[in-house]
Amino acid sequence: MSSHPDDAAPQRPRPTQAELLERWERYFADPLLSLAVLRGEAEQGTLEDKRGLRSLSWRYFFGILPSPAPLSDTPSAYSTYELLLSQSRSHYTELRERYLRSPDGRWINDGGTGAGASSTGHATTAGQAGLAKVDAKANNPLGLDEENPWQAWFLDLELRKTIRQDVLRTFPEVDFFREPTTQDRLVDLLFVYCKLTPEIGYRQGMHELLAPLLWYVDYDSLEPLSPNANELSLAHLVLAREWVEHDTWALFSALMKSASPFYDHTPSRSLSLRPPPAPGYPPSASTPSSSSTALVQPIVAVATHLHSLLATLDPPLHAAFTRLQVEPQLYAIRWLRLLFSREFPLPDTLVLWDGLFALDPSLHLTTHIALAMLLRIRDALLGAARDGYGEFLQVLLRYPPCPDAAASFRPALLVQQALYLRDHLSPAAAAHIRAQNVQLGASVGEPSSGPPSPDEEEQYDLRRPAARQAAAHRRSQTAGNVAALPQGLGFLSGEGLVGDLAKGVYGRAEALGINKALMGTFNEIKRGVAEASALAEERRRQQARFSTPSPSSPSSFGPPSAARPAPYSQIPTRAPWDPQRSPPPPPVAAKDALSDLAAMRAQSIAMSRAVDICVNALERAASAEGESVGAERAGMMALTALKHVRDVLGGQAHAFDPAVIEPLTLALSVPEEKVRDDEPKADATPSPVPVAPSASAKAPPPTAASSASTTSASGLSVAPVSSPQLHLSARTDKPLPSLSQGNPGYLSGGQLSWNTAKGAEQD
Amino acid sequence: MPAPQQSYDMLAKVCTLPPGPRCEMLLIGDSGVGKSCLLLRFCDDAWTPSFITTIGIDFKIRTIELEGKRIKLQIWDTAGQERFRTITTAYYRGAMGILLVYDVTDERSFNNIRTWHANVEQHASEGVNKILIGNKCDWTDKKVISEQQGQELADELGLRFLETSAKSNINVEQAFFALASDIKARLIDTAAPSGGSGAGGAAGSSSVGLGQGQGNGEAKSGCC
Repeated sequence: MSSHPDDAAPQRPRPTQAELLERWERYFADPLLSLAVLRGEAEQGTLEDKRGLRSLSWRYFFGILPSPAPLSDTPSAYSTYELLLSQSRSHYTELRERYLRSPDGRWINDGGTGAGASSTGHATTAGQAGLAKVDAKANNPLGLDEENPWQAWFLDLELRKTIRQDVLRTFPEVDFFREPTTQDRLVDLLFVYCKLTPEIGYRQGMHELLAPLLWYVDYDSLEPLSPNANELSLAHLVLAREWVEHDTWALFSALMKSASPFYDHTPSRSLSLRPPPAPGYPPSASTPSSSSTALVQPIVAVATHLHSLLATLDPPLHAAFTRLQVEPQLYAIRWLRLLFSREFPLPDTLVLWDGLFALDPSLHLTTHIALAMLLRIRDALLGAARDGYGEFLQVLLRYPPCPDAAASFRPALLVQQALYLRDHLSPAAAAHIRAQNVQLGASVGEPSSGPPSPDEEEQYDLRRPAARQAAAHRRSQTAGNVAALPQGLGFLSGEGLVGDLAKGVYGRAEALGINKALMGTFNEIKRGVAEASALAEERRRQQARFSTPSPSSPSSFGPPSAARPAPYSQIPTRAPWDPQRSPPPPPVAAKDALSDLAAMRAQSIAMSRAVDICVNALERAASAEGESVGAERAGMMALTALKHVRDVLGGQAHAFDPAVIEPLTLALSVPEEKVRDDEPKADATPSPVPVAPSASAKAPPPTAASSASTTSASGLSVAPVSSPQLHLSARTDKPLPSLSQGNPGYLSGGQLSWNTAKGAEQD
Repeated sequence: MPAPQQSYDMLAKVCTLPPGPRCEMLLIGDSGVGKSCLLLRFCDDAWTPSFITTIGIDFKIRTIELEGKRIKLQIWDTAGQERFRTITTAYYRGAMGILLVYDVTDERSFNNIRTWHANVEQHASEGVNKILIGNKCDWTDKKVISEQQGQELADELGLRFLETSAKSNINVEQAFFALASDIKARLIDTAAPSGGSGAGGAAGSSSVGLGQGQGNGEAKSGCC
């Protein structure tokens, strides 16, 4: 077992309720909030720092909550969440009923001391809220084993003892896991899982997947509202402390759906079969043509697949494994079962999990993360391989820490590299990643023949002009100003270019002490681009199958072209932020898509609110039963507005016209709807109605939105049509001087100010 | 600097590689009996109360000097729950010596020794050296398996036997050295005594002669 010496014992006292609520508000105050945005942040490794509420993000990633959207505090959102959550929570309550009661109906009680104390008949965990309503005389919970339920029961107790043995050894340095309540919950959850999934059962390692989930769900939990509070609080519904175990169950069972093959001991896969292909899984070039039909365990199949990919990516490293006869499952078992949590300090692991859960909840990306991890330490491995088998294994089984301790983006970098490898499976791609690691100080071990060993690389891809070009380029790069520019080298694919451009600026801005709000801007842009690029993802994947890393050369087998820029030349390694030399503008298409998206999102929000008002009006009309002419008129207006929304959604109307709802809001004369306190009311014309500032409402619908958005702020200024909460146009008059002047071609004033408004909210 | 370093490395290789290049050992036994603790004690002379579950397989190296010969012990530590022979082909096959470990405070782990032993008999290479280890012998008030019970089982299975405590550092060295000595007698001493008896002394400090180290009177003196 390897544990890192620098594992800081992370004791995390729970935040106060106010802090949690503030995080919640911040989480949802983002008008662009979406799954794609969260994914983008997770990929960059900034998700938890930026938003907090990690367990909430995980729940979104695993699809056990409705898709995240801004302004979730509407009654309709509440009821959607309520429905989903009550289903999932009552499901676990039933499971507890079924598996945690002895044949005579008493709650299991073997906990606390861990010595396998026999039952005293008093419930321990059952006393928790949410279980009190359980009927103590539940009918036979062990229907599967009618003839002798007690025998099965005693076997169960043995099983729980086995589980508890590992639970007691879970994160020994963290106080939370020393609490008896925590330990009982872990045992109960694992026990229920293995009763429900007998074909897998309890396997060691599951406990360390579960533990962080429980930890974070508990950490993010809110105490119940006082009983006389009559408002519906979505935060209190979703983060309810009384349902921590139940919500952890939902997360854990979703995670195990993907992770269970790593634990499955049934030899069920033939080695020649590929593991279930993830989208974008490139066909392996070096499929071992062994005719052996012996079935192996899934983990062995995955590990074998991993090495077949390694053979393509890094032949020398693969050769070392082969020469020393080191089977991939030796290390892959622990890496995959624990999702790498023993290889890194826990905080880093969790950032890695953010990215993994966000980008691939099916966990197929783990294979590529493992490949990226191997590439990171490949020089150390090759060095050790020269010393012998034992030395090699010692490096492999004790994953060496990053030499540059300041490289805080380590886990996110692995995720990004894994994504890259998934789309570019070639020796050239591996060489690029190695070079990147060297530049970022993330490479472990001395290269065997000079820094990033370009010659070695060329040995393998002389046929590939792009790679050759890249190698030549890197030689000049690495000879140059490497150490001074840690953030510069970015990702090589199209969207990564912009993302890392922003990252470079980000780092620089940090160095200059520019405030957080400003830095938030760049994350916004990055996120937006990530979102935009998702639109083109399918196409890119197809291109990627056989392409080399060069982002602009989908057909890499073509003749070398001087016009085709080598990847590194596109990345501002030399000057992440140089006022004299503006970085290249982002691809126009991406910018376009970003603006369109922002406009669409704003429109959706506006329409959602409009529909909400309409529904409200119609309900009133229905309950008034024709007694009130006003209500009837309002109903008619609501119908008109609804028809308009329908037309917009159906494409018959070009854009949503907020004016259509205005008479209705006036007619209803509803009390001024509350605008969220935390959102800056920067608008000079605060509107009594939540829908639209009247100025733009009277204006014709912004039909020019999508067409005019390309080059300036106009694309984004479309958004305020819908809601003052977006503050898009409100800020265009206050561009941030240093950046917008420094780089007008790249960042339009509109983008900047729009993001600044958001950044300020977070302060 | 480079030149002397180089020659030292060369020397070390000459000394350690040819005669007893490596001696592979395997720790098996139920989960929680203290396999990882034994390994940590033997290789790093350390102890920690906050142990975590071994997942998959772990591996440590220690070079010892045995009767004037340097032997590099490569010790595999395995997860107690795992059935490794279905996972890795190299698991039993490469092992020259096997430590079967139970917990003297846990009867189940003792009873399972027979299963572990049967597994070894079935899958390990013939003549592999074995030793039975009853760990946690310092925990006297919790002890449920007496030393005599352990010895009887060892006699029945034809194993060497020691009670150990990784925590109190009782008999840990002796156990590994006894097994190494058996392996050496079986594989190295009987093989052609090719040269290279490393008197380098690098590992001399940790050298414990087998037999003298058997402070425990119960230890069965199988060979040597």
